[in-house]
Amino acid sequence: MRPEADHILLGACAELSASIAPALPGDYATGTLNLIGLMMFMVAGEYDRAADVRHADIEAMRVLLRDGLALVHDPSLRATLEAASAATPASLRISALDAVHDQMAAAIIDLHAAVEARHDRTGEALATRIWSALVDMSDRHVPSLPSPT
Amino acid sequence: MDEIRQRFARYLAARMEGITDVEIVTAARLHGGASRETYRLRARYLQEGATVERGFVLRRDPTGSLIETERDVEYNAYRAYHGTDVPVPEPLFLEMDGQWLDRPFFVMEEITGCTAAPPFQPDPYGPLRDRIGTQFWNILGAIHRADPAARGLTRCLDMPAPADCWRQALDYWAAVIDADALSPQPIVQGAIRWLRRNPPPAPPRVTVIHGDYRTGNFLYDDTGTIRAVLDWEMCHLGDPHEDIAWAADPLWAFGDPTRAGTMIPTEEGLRLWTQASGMAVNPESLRWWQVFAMVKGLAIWLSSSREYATGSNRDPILAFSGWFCTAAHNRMLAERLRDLTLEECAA
Repeated sequence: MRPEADHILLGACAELSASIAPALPGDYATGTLNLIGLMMFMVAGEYDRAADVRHADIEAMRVLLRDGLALVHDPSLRATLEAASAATPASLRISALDAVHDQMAAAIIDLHAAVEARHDRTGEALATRIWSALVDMSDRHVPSLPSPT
Repeated sequence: MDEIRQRFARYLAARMEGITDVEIVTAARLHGGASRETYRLRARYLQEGATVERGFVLRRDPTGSLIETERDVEYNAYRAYHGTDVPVPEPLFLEMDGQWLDRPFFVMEEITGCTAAPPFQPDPYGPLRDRIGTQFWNILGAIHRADPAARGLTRCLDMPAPADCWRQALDYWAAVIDADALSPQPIVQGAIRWLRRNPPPAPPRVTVIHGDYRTGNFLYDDTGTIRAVLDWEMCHLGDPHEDIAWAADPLWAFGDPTRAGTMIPTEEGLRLWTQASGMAVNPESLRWWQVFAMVKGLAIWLSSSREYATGSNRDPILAFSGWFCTAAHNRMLAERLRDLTLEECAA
């Protein structure tokens, strides 16, 4: 597809901000249109990186879930972790990646709570690794905003 | 907008005794106000033989909102503080009858010649920063110094026991997250577990909590005088550290934790608050409420995501809050919890 979707969004965003918004009457219409323009900018950035961000999260969570299996003895939780750590997206569609992402994130919540409840050094170590991974994941998800002028 | 004009004119004519020939000469919806639709309306009418022009601000319940609160909470807060050293607009009418504008609303006086800072700009106040920042913390101290019973607020707000403030607040917002999150949230769930494991000390006394006291929620004029503190829809009674932590949340300061709301250094702000409130800041409490502030923020942003996704409210501010604010608060909260966990492991 040429032009790419992100280029189309950025072009439309620029047009909205430069030509359309100033011609609108009233604070509400102008403010709303500027906000729509801002989100078009954000969506343009997301278009290129959305699959990559989800893929990186999924692989990071897969490692944690597999490592967590060694610390978990509850059969039900072990089954949850095994299923989640083995999950693979049915396609590269964002919806398919999100389905696996959500399954893994739910399992991470259970694993995190379980290792915190151990109250030992091994549990603390994995809990800390999970927090570090969540920092990395959250960092990947912050959308880019236009530089203030 | 013509329909709002006509219907509000009919309302004023019915509500205000002794006025006739009511006409709404200007009407504009204000941007923002994601929890309630906000309109600025200027009315012209005859009163005792003279033509009068007067500005009003109308806050109407939306069809969907970030924050589910009763409009009378906000109205009663304005009524409690109007005429005190906490500047607020004069509340005029609280209307629950849907016949006038379909949904409940309240009306307050228009504050003219003022502006509110946008919340996500690195330096919204420019040279007025220090002057506004000083007032910002003094006013917060004045809010907390007030006796809730003497202000009439214990008649309409629940009074928690001091030791229960944290639990009530956390239970409420954790339930919002459970109800509204559209996907599993490992960061905020981990933070909620940390908060339950590490409860804060009880506050010296239970105070009025504004609930959304931050940059962007007050009006100031071009001399840098704060003329009105707005957006009291989350007002309740609780631990004053809740408001302090919310005001100083890095989300309102472009991620800078040292300068609340991009204004004066937070350390200086806490000193001013201590003087104005007559209470001391407890560092242990503040640490807990700082984590709580991000959890509460995430609850609000996750609710806005749901409202937008389900189509109950298509205001773009909900999409922005649900996306950008969730992402930004998740990152700040994850960093905070990682650091707290490392501290606990080292201890």
